[in-house]
Amino acid sequence: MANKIIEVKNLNYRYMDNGPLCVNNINLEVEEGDFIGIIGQNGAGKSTLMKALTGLLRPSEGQIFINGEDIADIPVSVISNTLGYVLQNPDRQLFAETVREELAFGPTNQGVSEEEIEKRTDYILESVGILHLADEYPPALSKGDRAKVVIGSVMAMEPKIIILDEPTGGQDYIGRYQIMDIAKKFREKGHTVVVVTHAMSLVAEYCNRIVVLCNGEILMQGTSREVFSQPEKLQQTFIRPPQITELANAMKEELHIEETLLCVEEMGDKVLEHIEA
Amino acid sequence: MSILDYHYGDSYIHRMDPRVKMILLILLTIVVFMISNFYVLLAMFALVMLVWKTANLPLKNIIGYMKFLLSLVAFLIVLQGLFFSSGSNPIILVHPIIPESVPVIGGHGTVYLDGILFGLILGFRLLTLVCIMPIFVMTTTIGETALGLVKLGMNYKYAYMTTTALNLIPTLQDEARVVMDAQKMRGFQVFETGKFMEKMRAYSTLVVPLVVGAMRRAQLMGVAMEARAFGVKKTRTYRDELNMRKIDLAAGVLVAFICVGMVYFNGLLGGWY
Repeated sequence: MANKIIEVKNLNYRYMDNGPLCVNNINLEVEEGDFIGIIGQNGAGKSTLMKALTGLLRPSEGQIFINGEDIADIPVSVISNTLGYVLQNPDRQLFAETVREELAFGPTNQGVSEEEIEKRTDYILESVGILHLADEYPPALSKGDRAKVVIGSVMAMEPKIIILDEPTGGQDYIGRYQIMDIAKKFREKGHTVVVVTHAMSLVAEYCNRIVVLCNGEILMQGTSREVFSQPEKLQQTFIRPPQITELANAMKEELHIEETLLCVEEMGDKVLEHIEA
Repeated sequence: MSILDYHYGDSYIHRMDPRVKMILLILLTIVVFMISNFYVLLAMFALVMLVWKTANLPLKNIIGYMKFLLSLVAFLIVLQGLFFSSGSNPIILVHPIIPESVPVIGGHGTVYLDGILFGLILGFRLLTLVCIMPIFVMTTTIGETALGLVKLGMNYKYAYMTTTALNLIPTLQDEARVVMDAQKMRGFQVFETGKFMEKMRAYSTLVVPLVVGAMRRAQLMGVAMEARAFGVKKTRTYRDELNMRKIDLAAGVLVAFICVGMVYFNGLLGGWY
C-alpha cells in the first residue's frame, strides 16, 4: 500500500470566531503518487481546504499531517519544501526580473547549490515549454505563459506534493491541456498532484481520484468513474459530469453501454463496437 | 476588518450627511494641530473616543494600531527627552549621564523635562489623529463619499478618482497579503521568522507584483468605465440623493463650537509648546 502523504483528520475551519464553518469535519487521505481532483461549486470550501493544507490557514479544529508530520506549528515557508502551492492568480506570484530568476527564487530560498539550481531551471524551462522565454520579464508574458512560469517556479522546488488551485482558469483549449500535461509529467516523476478545478473533462481525463466538496463537506470521493457514475448525487452541488459522459448516459440503451464513459476515445470505441455488431 | 474598511451599521454617525462628516473631519484635524496643551488634547481624545462609541465601531480594530502607536509615543518621549533643542530655558531633569571626560560622546545624556512633555504632546496628537480618520472611513460608504464631494462642488471625475484611491487601499492590503503568501509558499522565510529589519527590507519585494497588479486593474477599470459612458457628460445624475437634515446641521455646529471652545481653552491654559 502506498504511503499516506496527506492526512486530514476532522478538519474544521471558520474565518471568524463564532462564524459559520467553511470547512466542516473533513477527513481525507491522499496517497503518494495520487493525481487528485478537488471539485465543487464556488464557495464549496475548495480553496479554504487547500490553504489549510499549506498552512496559510490554521485549522479551527482538527489536524493535518503532511508526509506523516503534524503541520500545526510548522511555518508555511518550511511546509513549502514538501508541499508546493500554486495560487489562483499568477500575477501575484511573480517577483523576479526574468523567468529564469523566477524559477530560481524558490530553490534559492531552500539553500540549493548554484549548480543544482542551474540544472533544475534548465529542466523546468524545457519540460514546461518556456525555454524561449527564459530571459523575458514574467509580468509581460501572456496569461498562459505566466501560469506556466508560476507552476514551473513551484516545481523547481521539487516538493513531494504540488497543489494547483484552478490552474486552467481563463486558459484556452490548448493552454488547459498543456498545463494539465505539465502536472501529469510531474506526477510521472513520482510526485503527488492535487488539482482544484471546474473543468470536469480534465478531471475525468487526468485524475485517478476525485473529491467532491459541497458546503464545506465532502459529498463523495472515489475514482473518476465512480464519481461521475452518480450524476443525481453530483446534482446536489450543481456539478454536471463531462459532456461525453452525459452523452454516453443518454445513449446507454441504444449502444448497450453498461459502465460510465469518461472520454471521447471510450465513447468512440463503444460506437464502433455497436456499428460492427 | 481593517480601520480603512466600511463597517456596516445603523448608528447616527453612519446616517449623518457625509458633507458634515467631511467638514468635521477637516476641522477636527486642524484643531488637533492647533492644540498644544496636554489636558485640552486629552479632552479632544476623549471626544473622539465618544464619537467612536456613538458610531458603535469596534474598538478592537484600533487597539492593534494603538499598541504600535503607543510604542511610537514612548520612542518620541525618549527621543525628545534626550535631544530636546527648542525652548529658551528647558528644565533639566537629569544632568549629563556621560561624563565630559569621555571622548566624542562626553557631556551627552541630559534628560529634559520640557523634551518629555513635548514628546508627550507630539505622541498624543498623533494618537488622536489616527483615531479621527477611521471614524469617517468606517461609517461612510465610498458612494456616499463620492456624492458628498460632488455636492461640495468637486467635479465628479475627480470625486470618483479620490474615492477609487481610498477604495484601493484595502484592496492593496489584501493583495500584499496574497503576494506574501505566495512568497512563503516559495520558501521565503523572512515574513515568518525574519528579524524586524529583514522584514522591512523584504517588503520591497512586494513592490513589483503590487504595482503591476494595480496598473493592470487601473487600465481595466478605465476601459470598463468608458464602456459605460463615464465622463461623457459634464454633469450626471445619481441614484441616491443627499438629504441634509436639521439634526446633522445641529451636530455639525455643536462639534464646531466644541472645537472653538478647545482652541479657546488651549489659549487660556497656555500651550505647552
